[in-house]
Amino acid sequence: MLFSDARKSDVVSTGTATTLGRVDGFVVATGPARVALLRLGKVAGDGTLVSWEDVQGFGADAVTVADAAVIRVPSDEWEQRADSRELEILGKRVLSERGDELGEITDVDFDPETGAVTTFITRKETIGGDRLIGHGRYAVVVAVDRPGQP
Amino acid sequence: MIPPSETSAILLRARELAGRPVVTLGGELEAEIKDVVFQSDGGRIAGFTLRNEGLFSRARKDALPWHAVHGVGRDAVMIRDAGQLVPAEEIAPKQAARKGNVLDDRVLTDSGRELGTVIDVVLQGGAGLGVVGYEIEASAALGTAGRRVFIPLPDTVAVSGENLIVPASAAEFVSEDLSGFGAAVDEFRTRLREGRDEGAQN
Amino acid sequence: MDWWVWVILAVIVLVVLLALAVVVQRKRRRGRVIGLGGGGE
Repeated sequence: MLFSDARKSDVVSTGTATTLGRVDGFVVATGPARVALLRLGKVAGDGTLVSWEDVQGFGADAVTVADAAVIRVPSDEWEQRADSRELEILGKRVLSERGDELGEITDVDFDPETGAVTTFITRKETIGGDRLIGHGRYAVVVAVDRPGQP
Repeated sequence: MIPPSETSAILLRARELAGRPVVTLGGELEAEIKDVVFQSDGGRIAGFTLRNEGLFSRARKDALPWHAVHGVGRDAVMIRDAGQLVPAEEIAPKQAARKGNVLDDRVLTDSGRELGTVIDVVLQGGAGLGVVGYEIEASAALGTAGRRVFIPLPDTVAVSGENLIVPASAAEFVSEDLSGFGAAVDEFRTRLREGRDEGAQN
Repeated sequence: MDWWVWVILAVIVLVVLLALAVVVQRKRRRGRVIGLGGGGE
């Protein structure tokens, strides 16, 4: 499933069958590359983040969670940065570990069952999720694919 | 870790590195490259001084030693993390740095002929990054007055105040463009080696 | 002179000063290429 498709999905509580909010963005973590948090919008309370572990199902039309209690505020500095969109991965430049730019991320393919990121997509190429080394404010850093490649 | 020896064997101009972002493998922008610092004896890059991004930023008090460089690419210089930076004095001691800038220095042959003034310095990757030549604005003596040409350097770069001394034979290996310059450097250094071997035999 | 002439002059002066500041800063920011340990042969 692509981030571009999954964005704007409704987040629905299985407990009360109500819509709690909408997926505004995804926060990718490293080691291994995976969706760690969902960033929500149109939420009633203070919380905006949902851990992947609290996602019960990620379908084509909606995301299910147990109840509104899983929507929470940032619990550490990294989550605060994630919440402030510093770690928004769409549009972020990709640098190889050699220091060459490989383009900007236009979309990300992930497994909706496990949250694992399979592919980063830029205009020029696709980059396997297993190449992810780091993800920060300035860039996503990836390993070189083969000797001789940028 | 990719050793800096994998900065490909291409040639690059040292001044192109000024302002290049220094980025950690964690994807954070740490600084920008300010000065390129090399050892005259051997021409090896010792490291880089740093400055912060932004038009009105000052030089930083820390510097990047070459051994902490993970990779030098077209768009960034990569480091593992900021913990490997060292005090700037270790890379570029103030006194030496003030006098050691080769840009705008005059290039003289060891027979006293002025070849031109330094516009840029040519670096080559391989086992580490090193100085292999100068880009100079040629003097009339080279027959190409005012033009920009490349002259190769031996392993040792001799500096005397504002003058840089090169072997007289370097003038025979002048290149007009960077693409052919790598070969000129190899041929020049081979010539020097042969000269030394001959001298040793006599 | 009319007051607006002074205003225009002031703006021009400010723009010139700003341009000078940018030029000076860009020259300062130009990196050096420093050779160490080679003072004299």
